[in-house]
Amino acid sequence: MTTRQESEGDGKVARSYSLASAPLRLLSHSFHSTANTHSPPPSGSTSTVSHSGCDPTPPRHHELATSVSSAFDLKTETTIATNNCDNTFHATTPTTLPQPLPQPQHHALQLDPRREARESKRQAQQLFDSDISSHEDISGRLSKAIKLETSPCSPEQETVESPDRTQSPTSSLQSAEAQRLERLLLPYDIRYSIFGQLSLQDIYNLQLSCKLLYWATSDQSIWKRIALQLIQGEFYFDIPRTLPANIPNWKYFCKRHSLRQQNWRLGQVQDVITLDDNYQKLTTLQIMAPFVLTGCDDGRVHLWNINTRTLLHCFQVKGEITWVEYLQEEQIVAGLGYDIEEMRSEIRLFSTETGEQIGLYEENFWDLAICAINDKYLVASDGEGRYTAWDWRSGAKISQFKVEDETSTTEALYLVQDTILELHYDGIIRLFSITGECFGRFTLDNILPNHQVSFCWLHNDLSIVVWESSNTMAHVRLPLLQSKDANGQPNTSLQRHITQEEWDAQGAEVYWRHQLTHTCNFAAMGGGRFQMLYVQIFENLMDQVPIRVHSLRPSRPISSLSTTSAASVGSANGRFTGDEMALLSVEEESYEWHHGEYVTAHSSNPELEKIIQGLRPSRIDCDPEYIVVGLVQGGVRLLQFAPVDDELLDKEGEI
Amino acid sequence: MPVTLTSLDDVKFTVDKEVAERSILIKNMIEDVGESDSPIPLPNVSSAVLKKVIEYCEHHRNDPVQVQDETDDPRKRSNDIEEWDMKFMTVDQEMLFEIILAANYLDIKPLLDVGCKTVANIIKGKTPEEIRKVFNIVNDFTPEEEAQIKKENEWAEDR
Repeated sequence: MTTRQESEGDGKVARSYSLASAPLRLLSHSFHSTANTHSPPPSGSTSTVSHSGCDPTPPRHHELATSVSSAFDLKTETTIATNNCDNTFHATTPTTLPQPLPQPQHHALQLDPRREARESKRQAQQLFDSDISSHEDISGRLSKAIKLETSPCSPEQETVESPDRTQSPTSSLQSAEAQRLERLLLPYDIRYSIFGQLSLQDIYNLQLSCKLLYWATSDQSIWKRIALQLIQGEFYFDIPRTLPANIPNWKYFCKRHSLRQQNWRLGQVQDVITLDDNYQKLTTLQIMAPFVLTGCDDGRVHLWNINTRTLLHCFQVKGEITWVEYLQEEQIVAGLGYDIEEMRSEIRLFSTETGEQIGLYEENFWDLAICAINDKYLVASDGEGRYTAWDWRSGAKISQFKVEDETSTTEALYLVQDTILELHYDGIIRLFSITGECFGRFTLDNILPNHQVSFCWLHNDLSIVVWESSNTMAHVRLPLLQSKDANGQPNTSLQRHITQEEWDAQGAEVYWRHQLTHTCNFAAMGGGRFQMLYVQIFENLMDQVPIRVHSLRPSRPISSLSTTSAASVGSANGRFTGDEMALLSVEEESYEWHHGEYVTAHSSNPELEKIIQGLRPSRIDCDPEYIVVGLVQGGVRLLQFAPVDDELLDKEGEI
Repeated sequence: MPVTLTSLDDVKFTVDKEVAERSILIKNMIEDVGESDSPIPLPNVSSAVLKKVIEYCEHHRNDPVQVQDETDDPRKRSNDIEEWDMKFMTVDQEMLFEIILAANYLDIKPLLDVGCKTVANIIKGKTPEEIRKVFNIVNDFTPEEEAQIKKENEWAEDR
């Protein structure tokens, strides 16, 4: 790609705007353009997973590049991952597989040989499935757990004979029922069908009740289902079908993410990671896992990989960076810089594949103040209705137009395929095509009475979260934009005219509204459709700046049956009446928004706490895993909420 | 066309082919054997259980056959148990388990689902002690083992 120079004009519109306010307008970047390029998430994957154990590759998390200096003494990588693998694998040798549980006590009849073969194949398959999926990790633990007892029996026999070990007079009755339960739970399909419907809390209670149930609820596929439910709606990208490289099994995955979510709710930071490269004042900051993109006032744009903590690229744009964007699939970084002295703005495009600049875009007639880019187009505006659009792959200018000016400036700009969506400071939304054809103009006035939108985030389902200057946050749904096509798939093209009547009828509705108790200077939002995390800071150079963490999440499922009444259901011989059955079968799930009180980011580790309290943030962003903080004096810090891996693995290793 | 099924204890049951074929196992057997009047032996199912299973299949004979879905999620299936099914499952625990095992053996997915959901509903919301009580099982953990499991799972507590 060659660089393109726009032709000189007669003179450009002289316009000054406060640079201090410019970044605020441009930081509505949570519309992660990478999310747009992902295919719709698969509708859950729960096929019988024959999980083959952990990946012996050490976690990339701990690799450090030479260009990164650590402000905090990071724990060195150990061979814990490998050790864990050993633990999980030791049970798969033939000698340690438990003997098959007692077979059904039926008489063997003369069997048709074909059917017999088919039947034995099915049973073998079931046993095989249950063996593979459950014994790798769990029988190891189970036999370890059993070994705690000083018993001469071997672990395998122990498992089988445990129902008989009790000495009570009714032991024969109990053991028969236990054997019955054992028989029921032997086939994998049955186990999965029963336990796959239960919540994490129920599985936990089952595991504590007896060894049989501990074993039966340890299938990896059950934990996978729980894991996917745990992170449902949290991330923009596809739900993982396979485990990430540094996670040994699905139960561990659940543990890690469950702890991470708990830490967010408590504001407990687990680790502080430094990304330093002689930063000057940071003007823009974005996190889109696993990358962090920063822009400085000296025109440098940095792209970091969090997992490896390496600086992938450093690009140079002329002037102070006021907007950056990284398109993962297209492998480009775009940056908008404004040179104060020359009063010129330019956009440069770089390839992250080659590291070279691939485009230079300037507009001599007006300032480029606010931009958007997607896989096809680059659009820039001066914030007052003047637009230029380019096809960045060819570098050709597609259009240049002016739309009718509004009284307020453009707060945020989004590009949805070939439609431009504008949100103004006073809550006006405008839609028009890439060539300037206007599709509609609406106002959020009736739902945002304060007319002053400070920040906003467009989610990939085209709902918007806006933050008003009155410290009210509202999640606004725009059903007109979220239409579905004939197949019921979301319609991603907005290319149609929307009349005022349509808008008045069903234009915007508020999912929720939340009044914050403190004024804030800056905010960021991260998370998914159902769980949103946002952080706020109050920039005050003199005082301590707390980083406040708020989380909104759906309320927990409500069981319609209380614990006490459950105990009375089911008599000694296990007969249930129709009413009792009705009671047992109803469970409700509610997606009401649970507005968490804010918590202040802190740590129980005194060293970390000192670091956190010493931070002077000027910019922040967050995603479900990290808060990324840009410091006033330069520098970037990542606050990690997931448990630090080796501590977590230590606990696993003890079992 | 009627089909004869023989239970474990040699009791014969005659049912319509359409009803019998709710069981994929039986359906495959019939296809393999072809046009034959010989009874189909089911040595893993006792007569009492087979009777119940046939009752279910008769009632649901006109239901659309469920297609095996790769992305089958137990939670995604309809959460409500029909009233008839609920009454049908009002049996003692032993019979309930036998029905589930038979449904698994005979490959009758809807019956397996209903049975498993019934058991799941029994478990929901119960403490470990309550679970032991309802299934009449003994806590065979030593205090140390129990403590270890609690520690292993403490992150799951009170989310």
